[in-house]
Formats: sequence, structure tokens, C-alpha cells
Amino acid sequence: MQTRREIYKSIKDIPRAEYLAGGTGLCAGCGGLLALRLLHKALGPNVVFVNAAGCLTLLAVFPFTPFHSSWLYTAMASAPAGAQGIRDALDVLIAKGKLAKEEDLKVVVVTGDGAANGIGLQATLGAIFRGLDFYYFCYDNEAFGNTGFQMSPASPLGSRTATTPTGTTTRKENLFELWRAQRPAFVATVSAAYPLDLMDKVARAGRLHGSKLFVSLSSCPPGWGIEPAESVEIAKLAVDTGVWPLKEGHDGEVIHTVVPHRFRPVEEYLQRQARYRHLFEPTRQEDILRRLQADVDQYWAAVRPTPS
Amino acid sequence: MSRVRHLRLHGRGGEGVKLAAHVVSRAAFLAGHTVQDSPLYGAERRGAPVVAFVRFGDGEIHERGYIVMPDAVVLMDVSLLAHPEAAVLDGLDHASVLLANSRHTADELKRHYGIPARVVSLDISSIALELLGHPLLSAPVAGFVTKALGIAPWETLAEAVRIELQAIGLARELIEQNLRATRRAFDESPLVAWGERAPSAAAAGAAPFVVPRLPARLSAPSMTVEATSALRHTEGWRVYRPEIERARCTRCFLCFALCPEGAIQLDGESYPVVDYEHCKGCLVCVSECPPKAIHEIREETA
Amino acid sequence: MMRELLTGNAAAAWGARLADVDYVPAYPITPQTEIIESLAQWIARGELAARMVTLDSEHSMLTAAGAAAATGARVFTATSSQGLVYGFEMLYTVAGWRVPLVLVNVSRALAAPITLEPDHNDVLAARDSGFLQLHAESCQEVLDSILMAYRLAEHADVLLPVLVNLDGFYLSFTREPVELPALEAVREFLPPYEPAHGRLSASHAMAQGVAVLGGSAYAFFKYQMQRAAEAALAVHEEIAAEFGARFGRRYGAVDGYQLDDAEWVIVMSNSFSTVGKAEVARLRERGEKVGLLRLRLIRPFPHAELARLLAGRRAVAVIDQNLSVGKGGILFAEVASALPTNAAPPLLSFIGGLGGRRFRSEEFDQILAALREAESSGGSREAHLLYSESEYRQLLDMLRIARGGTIEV
Repeated sequence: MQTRREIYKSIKDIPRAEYLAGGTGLCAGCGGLLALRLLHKALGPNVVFVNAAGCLTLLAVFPFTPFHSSWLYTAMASAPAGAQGIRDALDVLIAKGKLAKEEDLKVVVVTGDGAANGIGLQATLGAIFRGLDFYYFCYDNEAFGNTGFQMSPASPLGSRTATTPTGTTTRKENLFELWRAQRPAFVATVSAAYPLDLMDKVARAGRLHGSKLFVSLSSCPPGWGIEPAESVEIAKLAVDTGVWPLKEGHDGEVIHTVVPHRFRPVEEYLQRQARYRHLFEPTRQEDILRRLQADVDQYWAAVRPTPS
Repeated sequence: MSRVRHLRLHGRGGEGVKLAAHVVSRAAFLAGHTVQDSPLYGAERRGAPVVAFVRFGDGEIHERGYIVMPDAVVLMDVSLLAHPEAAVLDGLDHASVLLANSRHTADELKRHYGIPARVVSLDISSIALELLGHPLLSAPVAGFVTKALGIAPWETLAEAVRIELQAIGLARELIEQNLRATRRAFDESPLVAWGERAPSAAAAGAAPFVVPRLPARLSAPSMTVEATSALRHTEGWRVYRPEIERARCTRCFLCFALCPEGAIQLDGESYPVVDYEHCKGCLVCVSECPPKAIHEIREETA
Repeated sequence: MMRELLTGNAAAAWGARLADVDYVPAYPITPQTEIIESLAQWIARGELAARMVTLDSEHSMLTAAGAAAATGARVFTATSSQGLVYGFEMLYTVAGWRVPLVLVNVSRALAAPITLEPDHNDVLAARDSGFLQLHAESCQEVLDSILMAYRLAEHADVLLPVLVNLDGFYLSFTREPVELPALEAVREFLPPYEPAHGRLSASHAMAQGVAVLGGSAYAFFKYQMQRAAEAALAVHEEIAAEFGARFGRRYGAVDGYQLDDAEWVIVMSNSFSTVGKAEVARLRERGEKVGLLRLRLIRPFPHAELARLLAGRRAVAVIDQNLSVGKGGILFAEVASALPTNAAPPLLSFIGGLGGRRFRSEEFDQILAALREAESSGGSREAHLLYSESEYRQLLDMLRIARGGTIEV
């Protein structure tokens, strides 16, 4: 079941203009790159990306950039503060008549889960608290990907990372709720496997002034242990098993925008990824498998999906 | 001064260059040599050029860092020959050797690229695809290199493969498969003699260069030209290329929507067209095409 | 032009106001807070057309400052001590973006132990970052230095951010007469900011601060910063000459007091130099040919001028109000490296004023005696801490209270 989309109803609505050129050094099949490409199509031109350390930092390596837009790499912890500085400067320069209004830019923070959770929370919550008018796009591949896939606060229970070789024993930090507690204008989870849902959310959020935050579960072939060709399929399984709920929050309400008719067993998603292989081989770890399914079941039991 | 042999291995991230170097280095170590090995790469990234160095000898090794004058270069991905910044041929001369993973003959490679060194080639990728199902090159490349240059006997190499593959957590079954691929490469590898490299004459009397001051506005790592990444081609990343069978295509637009690179565009009739210069061969389009109108075709190398 | 009684903090705020800055990202910390409070008041009253935003930490504050400068705004910000080092990473980053801005540091000794009074370990920690540095002795100099700092930072040959340092308490909360130049006169000296490099707008897309891979690219950009900083020596000279001509106050890379015929020279920096100058005057009355050299421009470091001014002296003492643990006084090492190895006067190193500890008059007599001794026996690398026996005894008493029992020494 899907909530009625307002702007991107059919795949034919996807604009053909590309805002990112090819030739970057990102992995083949990168789920974060696909989500960013779709996000940019929904945003249109006149964008400045403010980046914190992560895989996508390698998009712009001197002298190559894929962007027609602007880009500023800041630091791991402080991309939202960089966004604050750019937004304020644009406002002040326009107010003082030093810059024409048509020269304004949409300010978009791009970070991975590593920089969004933990280290980056201070700056992000500060930006939301100040009512900063910006977008935040987090590509969540559930680890510190750029440094070799070490555990991050977004690594899910039971997943193998370079620093949790026998599986993570902590629960994934709930970034959506951390953001939402600050009452930003708009907050959403998205997935590149559901491009219309992603783009519609971005476009509808664009009508609002204030902080607009998106977290996209992003397939990571080298980190998750999947083939690049499976990148979209695995992302879709995450949604179809209920592991990654697609939802949005604004005005104090949470709406689930894509609710599977029939939830596939979580194991179907886990079994496809080498980072969960230890849950199945050499023996099945029933406790953890049961817990993972129970967590998903509990989540959805508490949710009342909105009728389409 | 004891003799030190210098190997420089080139490939792309994800191809197992570092592991290949580790296996060769371990084999030399187990054979009783002093060794030093090190990789050089940017952020963890598939596709980008990666270099690894192996030095081995009978005494102490008073060297470190980039191997500028290799006795042998191991080229795990010949598509790097088309990228001057990968510098795969730097420092080679007639006394050195280039070992290439390629389905082309040594003569073809040498002539086509004007390679100054002696060349030997072996189609490691096909061995890996056949025996491992995936282009996992590290162990069979190590088999090729160890045999060709006479670095260690088979038993020693096999032990090196076991040690290094266990160290990265590979399951026993996969290690055995890798050993089979290594054995095949070892058996099929031609032999080549080490050359005797003459030390290069230092440029006498060269004055030290003083970097001039550029205008401050040009002295920052910034770009004012848009989308310069388009100048970089990623066709060399592909093992398989996607080919769209127009007759079966229903123009559903899914491949256009889901290509992470934006390398599939729609033509005047709204049929998808692949930009092969910027396709990385991820094959998401092949997986996602509902009528299965996109086929994966093995890429011809070099 | 108005003559006012202002604290150093107020003078700093006036510097930002007269520079007609666009943006002030802020975060409070003792002893800087009056700066941002003054600016907040003026902005609220419409007397300064800038935007002030309180960020969530100094690290964020410095990021916002640099990002706004990269967008094309004229930016002012201020911090101290713990705040400066909390945002330390961003000092290197912002300088590497090659965007101009002025950061005022109100010096305060660094924890641990945590304290509030001044010394210079905070600002000197930033000396490698690429920020240029000016250190002020008086409230007037604070204001003047800020105006000159914008000209310096925004200069086409420089494009590096500038740190202006003033001592906590002894300048920040101390009121002195300050001449406020008229806004129009300042505008002639410092026109509105026209970005030569960092700008962001729809019709001018730019990728800034991007990653570089490979040592050659990194070395190139880093070295260009060095060349720009070297060029800044001459640029500073030009700017200071123009400032002097317009406003009647002439500043140099260094400030000499009774230096011309001095046989013995004491090198100091910042506001405690005033105390040093008073002591020099006292010793001069006794017939001692002592002089004081105050370091003002710390980055770029004025090697040549220093070597010229210290040549031929009988001995030189450097008083550092900082301490590099395991090495000694920071400025001592920098001064020593500026002098030719075969023709340098004997050098002595003293540490004084850590945590704001006040100098005792007799310590300058001790320094002079040591200089005399050094002339014949040669200089010494060993840093001598200026401290008195009575202070030591009081410290032992405090230790006894703190730890109980007897303290065997």
C-alpha cells in the first residue's frame, strides 16, 4: 500500500536532466550515489552541497567534481554548521543587496550515517533547533564505510563490521526519532529502491521553510557483501521485510508512505548479505534471528498504517 | 650490499592487489628471505588505482616507500595502461619484467603499448572466473608471479596462500577453491628470468626547483568549472558490460531511473542508451529490467 | 573620530562594527563574552547590519565562519582558550580554504588545570594552522589591528584568515582611552569585501575545500599558503603605513621600546609588555642600557627584522608567557631560529605570566643580572620559570590543605 504521491506519481515524471556527471570514484552499484542522484533530480538546480567526511567526500577530488552544483567539504562533525554559515551568508548578502535574489541556493548537507549519528548529532540538532532552512541527506550504509566498514552507531544488531567481526551487539541508533524530537519542518526515511517515494518526499518538503531531513538506507556492495548488481534488489528487500520503514514526520505526525501488503520474513533480507552470514553458518544463531524478526514485528504492530 | 628484488603490483581497488602482494611476500618470507611489503591507496574504494610493493632479499632492506625502479611490475588490470596517472609503466626498462593479467599475448601487449620491459601474460581473470566463479584475482596472480619469477616452490606458496587468506577470514572451502586457482595459474605460468638493473645515473648539476607563488585565488583546492569528472572514463572498471536489446525493451524507464551513475539516458524515442564511457558495469540495470531486455556481455580487455 | 573609555572586548567589538562585518557566528566563553554581547546589542538596535547566530560549539562556530566567508560574506568571530582548541581542526581547514576572516582570541590559559586568567598557549597552539596572527598590547591596538586584519586577510596576495589576540582580563576587562575612527574614514581604508576567490551563488558554482589525493597536490597547496604568508610581511607593512598615514598610529611587525641604543634586550609580547616597558624605564633610570622588543606579528614571523634588531646586542632575554611542555618557551625557540647561528647574541629563556601570574619587579633585576652573566658565559637553552620562594611556600601550604598530612620536600 502506498500513500498517494502528489508530484512524482509515475516513473515517467522523473526529469531527464542529470545533475551529477559520471566518472566519479564511488563503488559500482553504490546505493548512496543512486539516492543522491534521485534527490538532486527532485531538487533541481541551484544547490550547494555541504559535506562531512564519508564515502561521498570522494565525489569531489581535485580537480574533478561531478557536480554542476556547488560543494563545500567541511569536517566530519560540522557539516550542518557549514550549512548554517552558507545559509546565513546568502541571506545577509541578499538582504544587503550584494547578491541578487535569483542567485540564492538551496543548502543541502550530505553525510553518511557515521557523520550523522554520534559525532554529528550536536551540529545537526543545533541546526534544527535554530530552525535552519536547509536539507539534510544522510546515506546510511550502516557503518563507517569510507574507512573500511567499521561499526557506527547506525550498525544494526547482529551485523558484521570490521570492528565487530562476530556481529554488533548494540541496537541501531534511531536517527529519524532523534531528528524528529526537535520538531523540524520535515523528516523522512527514503530508499533508492522506491525512487518515486523518495523524490515525492523531497519535492513536497521543498514547499516548507525550515530543516528538512532525509535518511536513506543505502546498499553498500563491499560492506554488506553483495554483488553491485543486487544493490537495488537488496534495498527493496529491506523495505519489503519491514526492516526499513518508509515514513515521514511533520506537524507532530508520522505517516508511513509505503507499507508492504505482505511482509517477507526478515531472514530473506539477511541471508543475501555476507555481513549476516555468521547468523547462518556454521550454525544458525536462532536467538539473534528471532530477535531481529521480533523487533520488526513489534515495530509494525505499534504502527497504524494510514489508508491510501 | 645484499641484492633486493623489487616488485610493484598495480590493479584497481576491489581486485585484491594488496592481498596478492601479501601472498607473494609471505611466500618469499617462508622461503627464507627478508621481506617488506606495503600498499598505497586512497580511501577504501573499488575501481580506483591501487599500488602495492614487495621487496625481498637476503639481508637487511634499507629501503622504504614507492618502488621507482621495479625489477618486475605485476599488472592485474591492463585497463590501467590507458590511464597515465596510474603510472604502471614508470621505471621499467629492458632489464625489467611486466607480468600482465590479460587474454592478449605478451607480444600484442608489448607492441600495442610500447612497453619497454620484457612481457609475459596469463589470463588470470578467466582462471578465476572458471574456478572461483568471480574475478577474485589475488591468489592466482600470486601463483603466476611466484612461478614466473621463481620466488618460491609450490608447497611454500600454498602455505602462504593458506596463511594470508585465513588472516582475512576466508572460509576453508573458499581457501581450497583459491588454492586450485592458484595451482592452475602456477602450472600455466611461463618462466622468466630476473634482469640486472643498472642503477640510474642521477641528473648531475640539477638545481633545486623553487615553487613560485601563484595568485592567491588560484592557490586553493577549489574548482570553478562544473562537472569536470566527466573527463574521467570508468569503462575500465567493467568485467561485464550491459547491452540493451531494443526489440525486447518496453520503455518502462526503470534502468534510466535506477542507474547509480546516471549512465543510462533516454533517446529521442525514449529508448534507454548506455553511456559506456561512464558505465562501471554494476549491472543493476540487468537485474532490474522486468522483461530481461538487458544482457551482460563479458568485456574484452585492453 | 571619538575618544572613548573602552575595555579590550569593547574595542574588539568596535573593530568588527567599524569593519561593517556581515556575519558573526558566536559561542560564549570567558573572557570573550562581552564582545558578542556588545555586537548583539548593536545588531538589535539596528546600529550594525550583520547577522549574529549562536552556534552549538566553537567547532561549529568556526565551521560556520569559514563557510560564510567561502560564500562571500565578511565574517567576524571570537573565542578563547578551550573554545579555540575545541575548534582546532577547523583552524587548519578554514585557512586551507583560502578564505579571509578575522577571529579574535581573548587569551586564557589552557586546562588542565582549568583557570580563567591569561597566557598564550591557546593562541600559539594555532601558529601552524595557516591563520596569520597579530598580538595586541593595548585596547587601541586591538581595534586598529582588527581593521588592518581585514585588509590583510582580504588582500589578493594573501587570502588567509587572521587571528587577533588580546589578553584576557588585562585587556579584555581593562578600560583604556581608545580613539574610535569615523565610519567614513574607515570605509575609505577598508572598502566593502569583494571576494577574489570564495563565492557561492547560482550563477557561480564552485567546489571548495575538496579532497586531494597524492602528495604532490597536497604539498603544492600547503606551500602556496606559506608563500602567501611570506607575501603578507610586505602587505602588512603597506597596510600599516597606510593606516598610519590615515589615522596617525603606525604599527610594525614588532614594537621597540628604548631599543635603539640598548645593549640588553628583553623580548616580550601582548599586554604584559607594558609591565616590561615600565621595568625597562626603571632600569634605564639606574643607567642600565636596557630595551624591550615586543613581538606583534607572530605569523608570518618577521625573521629578517628580528635578526636586524637583535644583531650586536650584548645579550637577549625572551620572556615567554607560554610553555611547550618538554621543550620550553615557544617564542624563545622562534626567536632563536631567526638569528644567524654564527653571529647571534647570547640568548636566555624565561617563562613568566603563566595563568596570568603577575611579574615581580625584582625579576627584571634578576633577568638583567643573568644577561650580564650570559654575555661572558654564553646563552642558555634552559627555560627559567620566574617564581618566588614565598609563592612556593604558599603553594606548599595549599598542598598540605589539599592532601592532608605533612608534605616532605
